Amino acid sequence: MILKRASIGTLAVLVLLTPLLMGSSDLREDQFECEQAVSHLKGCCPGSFDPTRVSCEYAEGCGGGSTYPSLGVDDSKCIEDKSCDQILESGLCSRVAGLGTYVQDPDGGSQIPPRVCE
Amino acid sequence: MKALTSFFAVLAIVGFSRVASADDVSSVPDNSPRFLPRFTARLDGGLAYRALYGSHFWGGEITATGGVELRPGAILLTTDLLYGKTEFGLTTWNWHLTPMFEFRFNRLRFGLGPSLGYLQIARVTTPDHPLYDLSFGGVGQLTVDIVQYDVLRNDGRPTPPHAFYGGIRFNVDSYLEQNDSHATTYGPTFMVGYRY
Repeated sequence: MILKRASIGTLAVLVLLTPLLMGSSDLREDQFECEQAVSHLKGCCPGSFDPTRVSCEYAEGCGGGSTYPSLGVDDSKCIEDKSCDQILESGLCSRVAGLGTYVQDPDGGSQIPPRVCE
Repeated sequence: MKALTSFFAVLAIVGFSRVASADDVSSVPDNSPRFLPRFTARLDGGLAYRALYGSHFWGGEITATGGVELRPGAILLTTDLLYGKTEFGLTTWNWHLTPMFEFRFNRLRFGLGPSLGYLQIARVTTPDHPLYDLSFGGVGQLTVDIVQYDVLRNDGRPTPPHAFYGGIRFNVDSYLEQNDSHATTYGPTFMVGYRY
């Protein structure tokens, strides 16, 4: 009986430690909000807007430089707050489609894409 | 967040064991039939809401539970799966595994437990590579038996009734922090189900 209880306890501890053992993919706010904004654009923009050409990826580089989503959190939330009419009028579809990636250099410098949503 | 979860887990375990101990050491002669622990299984489903980074997602959630009904309550193992959409249409899957301690007060039942979770959110920019993360968290639930079916075993001993029930469950999840975002999801599920 004691052994059985110990086994159940060990199993419970292992289950609760599973996330630490497995690691995870980052559920970052900038990635999530970027995906939300691009999904909103996909629903509003003409068929020529290709969401797969926008980068919402965060990746740590080997040399210390990191790649950030093309849309920052502020830009993403700004887009999410706009109606489809406002998005079409402001030309956001083409501006977002033309964005490059945002790479932060190891020395702290960065290539920051211009704000696209005001 | 993790400290809060641990606090609730310890509170539930201590409280449950104290109630159980009080039952065990009762030395007053009791002529009523002895309570008989029994296996229990439940299935419920409902509508779920979760907040994430000031956004949210809605969906349907289904929960399966197994465990043992004891005199003061029940010890349960619960697993639930939520399928939903964010406000901009990203598909979400949210899964939990929760050991739960449940206390019974007539038709009301109150349960608490720590949970292990997994959240996956589809991406439109890279459809083959969703966002996902594992989480630690806590679950609290309050249910009320809407229709009860009394159970008397062949030997006349009473056991907790089977029932149709309704209630609310509240999840809080803290995702592993490998970044500076500190992702947390929380929100209620309104459910109805049947308890065997």
